[in-house]
Amino acid sequence: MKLIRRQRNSSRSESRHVGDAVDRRTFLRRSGVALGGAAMAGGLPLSMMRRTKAATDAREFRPMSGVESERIHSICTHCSVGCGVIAEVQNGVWTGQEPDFESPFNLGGHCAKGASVREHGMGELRLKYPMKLSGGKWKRVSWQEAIDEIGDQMLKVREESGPDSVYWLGSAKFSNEQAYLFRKLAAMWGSNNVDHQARICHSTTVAGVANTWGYGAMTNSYNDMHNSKAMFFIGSNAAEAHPVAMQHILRAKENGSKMIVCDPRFTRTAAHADHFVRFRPGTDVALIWGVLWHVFENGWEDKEYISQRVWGLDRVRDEVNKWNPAEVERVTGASEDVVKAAAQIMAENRPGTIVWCMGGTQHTIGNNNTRAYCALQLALGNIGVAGGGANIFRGHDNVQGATDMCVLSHSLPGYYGLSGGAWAHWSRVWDLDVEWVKSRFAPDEVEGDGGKPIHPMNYKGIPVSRWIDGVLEEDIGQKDNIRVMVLWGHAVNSQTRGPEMKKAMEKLDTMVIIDPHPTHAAVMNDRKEGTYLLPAATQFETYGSVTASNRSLQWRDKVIDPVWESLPDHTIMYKFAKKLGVAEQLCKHIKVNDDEPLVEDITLEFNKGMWTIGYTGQSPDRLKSHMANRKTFNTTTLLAEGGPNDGEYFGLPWPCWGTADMKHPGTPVLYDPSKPVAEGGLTFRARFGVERDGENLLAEGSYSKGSEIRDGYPEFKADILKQLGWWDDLTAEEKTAAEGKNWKTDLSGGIQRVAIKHGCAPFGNAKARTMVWTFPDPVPVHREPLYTPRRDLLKDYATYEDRKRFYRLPTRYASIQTQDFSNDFPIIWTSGRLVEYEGGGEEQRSNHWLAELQQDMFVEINPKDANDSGIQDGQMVWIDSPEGAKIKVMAMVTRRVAPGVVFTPFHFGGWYQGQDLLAKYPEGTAPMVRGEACNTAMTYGYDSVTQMQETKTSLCRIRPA
Amino acid sequence: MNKLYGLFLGLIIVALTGCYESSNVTVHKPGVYKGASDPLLSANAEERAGSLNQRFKLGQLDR
Amino acid sequence: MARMKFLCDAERCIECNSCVVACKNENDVPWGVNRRRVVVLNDGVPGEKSISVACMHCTDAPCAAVCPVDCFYTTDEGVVLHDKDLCIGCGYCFYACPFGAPQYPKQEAFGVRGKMDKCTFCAGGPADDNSDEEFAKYGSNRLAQGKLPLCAEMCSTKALIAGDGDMVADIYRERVLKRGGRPQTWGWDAAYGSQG
Ligand code: SF4
Ligand code: SF4
Ligand code: SF4
Repeated sequence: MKLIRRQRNSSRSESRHVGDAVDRRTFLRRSGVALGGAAMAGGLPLSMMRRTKAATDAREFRPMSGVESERIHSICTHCSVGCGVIAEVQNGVWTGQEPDFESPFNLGGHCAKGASVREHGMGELRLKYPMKLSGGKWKRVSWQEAIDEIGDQMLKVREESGPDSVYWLGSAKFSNEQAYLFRKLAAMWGSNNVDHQARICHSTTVAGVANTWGYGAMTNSYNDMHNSKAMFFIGSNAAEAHPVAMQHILRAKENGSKMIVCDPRFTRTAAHADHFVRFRPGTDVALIWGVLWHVFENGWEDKEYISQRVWGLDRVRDEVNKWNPAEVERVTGASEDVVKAAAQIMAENRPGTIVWCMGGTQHTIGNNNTRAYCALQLALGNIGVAGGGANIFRGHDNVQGATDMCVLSHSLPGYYGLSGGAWAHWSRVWDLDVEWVKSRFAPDEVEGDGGKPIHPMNYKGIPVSRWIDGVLEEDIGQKDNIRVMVLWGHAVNSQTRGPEMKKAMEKLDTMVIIDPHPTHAAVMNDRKEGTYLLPAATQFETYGSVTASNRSLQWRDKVIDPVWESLPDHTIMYKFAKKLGVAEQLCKHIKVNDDEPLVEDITLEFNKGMWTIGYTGQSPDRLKSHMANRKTFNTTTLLAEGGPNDGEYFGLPWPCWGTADMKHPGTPVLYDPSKPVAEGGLTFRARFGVERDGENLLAEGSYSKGSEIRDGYPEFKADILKQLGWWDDLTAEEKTAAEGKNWKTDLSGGIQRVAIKHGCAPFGNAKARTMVWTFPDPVPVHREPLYTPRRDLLKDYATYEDRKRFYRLPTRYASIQTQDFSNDFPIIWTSGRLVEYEGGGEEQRSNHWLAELQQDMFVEINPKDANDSGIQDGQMVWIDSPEGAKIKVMAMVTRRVAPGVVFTPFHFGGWYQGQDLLAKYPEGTAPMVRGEACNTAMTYGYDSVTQMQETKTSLCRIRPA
Repeated sequence: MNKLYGLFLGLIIVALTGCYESSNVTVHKPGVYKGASDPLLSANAEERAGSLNQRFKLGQLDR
Repeated sequence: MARMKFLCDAERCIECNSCVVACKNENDVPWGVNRRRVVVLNDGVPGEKSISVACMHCTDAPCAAVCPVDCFYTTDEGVVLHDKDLCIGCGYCFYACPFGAPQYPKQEAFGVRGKMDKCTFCAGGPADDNSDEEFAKYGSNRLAQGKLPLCAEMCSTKALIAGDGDMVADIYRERVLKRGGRPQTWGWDAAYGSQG
């Protein structure tokens, strides 16, 4: 008897009617699914054979006895934990996977996704060659044809409507090098209509946190949680979203750390908690202020820390005073004793860390939530210490890196922004004339967000959350609507408002999907012409650096050659640049071999420009050395103990100041003054000036170890070096480069070097601020979601006024909230993650090992609501949205959700409003598991600072199907 | 659930095997392995124990 | 001599299914057959626990006792294996097994059960170690390569521990000591007798 991989017969049908008690696994195992897509995988025609030396039959992916096997090290592509992957490759075929015990991040562990990455090399259901939709049919085309046709379209649209009518949607799946090249390509094309997933995952974090203490990233690390005495999770389900992080979290717990989980659902993470706080979705600010109320009430705040390092906490205190236990319970549903216990645990167990994810960020007031979390930690004195911090778990494997490279519509790489100075800085790095760069943009000023005229080059582009409105809305801040959409490594099922998206897709001239899979975007619309699918390689088929959530950079080696006809993303970018006539500028200082830009050259180029966040010291050589010697790094501190990287932190977590020659070790814990800056210590960044309302914004009496300035100080500039008498510490060359520059724009790195030599942080030493005077709500306040069942709260907690222009688009708030949907749509709807799947789920639902474990899209519903609506476990139901969309899913009756709240995962796709779209996929590419995308029926709502979409709180109605 | 599931499958199996009762089952003395020999058994397990324990320390400890 | 055992630490298991996928990946286990699976108790309510279950490689294996064709044997390390050429797919062992470990892949022809398949502790079966034949019938033979089962080696949280029973027990004892509370060695009594 042979075990044959292609056999898809499931034994589930036998057990269909067994037993009543269900858990999720059993539930899913016994639900039925037609494996239509998979069945087609067998017997491929000869023309579809793999073009490389890779195998053509599933059995050829088995390890071959007697054939030499090569061990290649890469990094998992499924989340930001950054687990090391060891691939065993025989004759160019990926035949085995081994645990990477040496990685200090995972110590060999993987979650289901990481354990399955070898499937990428089989690629049975991958998109195999470029295709185009013609007369409603998929037709194979060559790469050259595809690039030529798409390029001609783009150039035509550019001619007629301007460069802003082409939208470049990039990806958190890019390596750092690809992300950087992509942002640069968009700049060379001449538009800020470029964005990626960070907009819809942690944009409110980045904005809120960076505006509080300087940088918007995770302050500590997963490993550092071993040092925590308390861990406060809010809107994070690490057990499913960051499973290997749980290794560190549970180790902390074994060390005596207390674990608090605040979530509307009793998640798998909550199952491990010491204390669980259930609250109503969308009331994070109220809950956090409720916790802080007890902190202030009992004098548990860290007064010395606050006086030295925090500004504006009095304003927060005024707001918090309103959130007495009764009001907190009225709004959040969490009772006084439960909230107080959480506050007490945090107060009595320091240092404590806070962890948040999409549960906190994806709201119309997401930026308020993230700032409230920061304020809580600042009040407790928990930021800038090992074991403390804001451990913001990022999502995709390289969403941190792609964010840092600013594949974002509002900034150039390194968060330099879009000002004239920012363009001048990057043009210098690129060695291009800034006037030439400007000439690539639309020439005419438009009416900007505040009503003032602005040049398109300096105007924030349309965010990915709103691209559909960029196609559909009439009065927008650019010459014409979006007409060409490039969806590069992006799952549209992670975006809300399905029917409008479908309409937008159908209105586009051209739609280009560049991805290892066709994705939901290829099938959810009724386009007949002008859709292109270009097969991109995965990160296992190329190499380069990737930034984990803790800001460490890791280097991936190439495991296998790209399968079928797929190409690495940077090669595809170069092909486009060539067609569009900007290849020479794009790769002016980057070697190109056979259309593939040299990865190391790209790293070295961004090393030259990313001074703001210290991406300057991580040269390819240093990173490769860290990978090779990863076993020498301590699994708690991440510090190398001996070996060639002695004294450096694993992956040189940014900021890794100065040039690579300076050998800065990286910064393992942000803002930690207990170490000298040269050894990874830091202060809060002086980003917001030196005073406000006559009050000092600089730190008082707090400075990093060994600092020659024993107080707060502003950021370093040439002038300040001169005033301090440190100018002559610069070399002659550095002086020339540094004259008139500051720590961010001095391309020699001299200013940073000298500041650090004197023990100072190049970005200054200030207080963190808990009031952001430039934001709509300077002190975070609670506002009800647009779709709220609590009409009684609107008089106190109404949303914002509508805005005429915000990121180029009209944006609605009050006009939606004032309509009452709560009678017809009485149930609160929230969404989240499953461990086997990630993002839009195309890769995982096409992976037979993972697909088998999660076969049906489902909705979790409390027994009370199920009984009220006459719904039984396992039956199909309709979820209706107040905006008119509906989705058909399977009901799972469980007490995991509270009465009045339902939960759906968001990784499914390939169905649309009750219909399986199997027939619309190119042959042999449909994921084995398809299901309704929950976001088809998720509703309108965007954050007031970043345009983050609201996917965590909406309303719905559920009825049997 | 699992038990029920087991029981149920077990019942099916018993029911099914009932139909095949007369098929040519080897007559045997219970408990003596009748299959091919496994080379793993002739390899020295004592020796292997060392490397397996080494491996255990590498992978199963928290480090 | 090492006596191989599995232990799943329910306080650490987060039901991530890595062990299940690692097993499939390593042993080329087809869709619908699960040598290992994760079982959840009290799903969705306080007290929720998950444990990963596969063949425990019992001392005095009940499966072997009922096998009509005597296809089971136990290696020196205590791993319970079987010969698929002998197995008739009768299903008795499933009935006898306290853990529901034996699996029967469906054959192409309907109605006929495939030969029994179960966890091998990544130790292959009665064929040349790491030969193509052994792999096709039984999957990988990691023990012969000096490695331990991949499910445990890849467990996200080191909840699942595999190896010499004494060393496994040591790790677990240490954790229990740190955590306080009573050890709950799921399945150990049933598999290895009350003396552990
Ligand atoms: S998805 Fe995340 S936790 Fe899972 S193996 Fe990959 S990096 Fe690790
Ligand atoms: S767990 Fe089941 S299959 Fe494994 S040895 Fe014990 S009785 Fe046999
Ligand atoms: S891999 Fe480990 S944590 Fe995950 S389900 Fe298996 S035993 Fe549990």
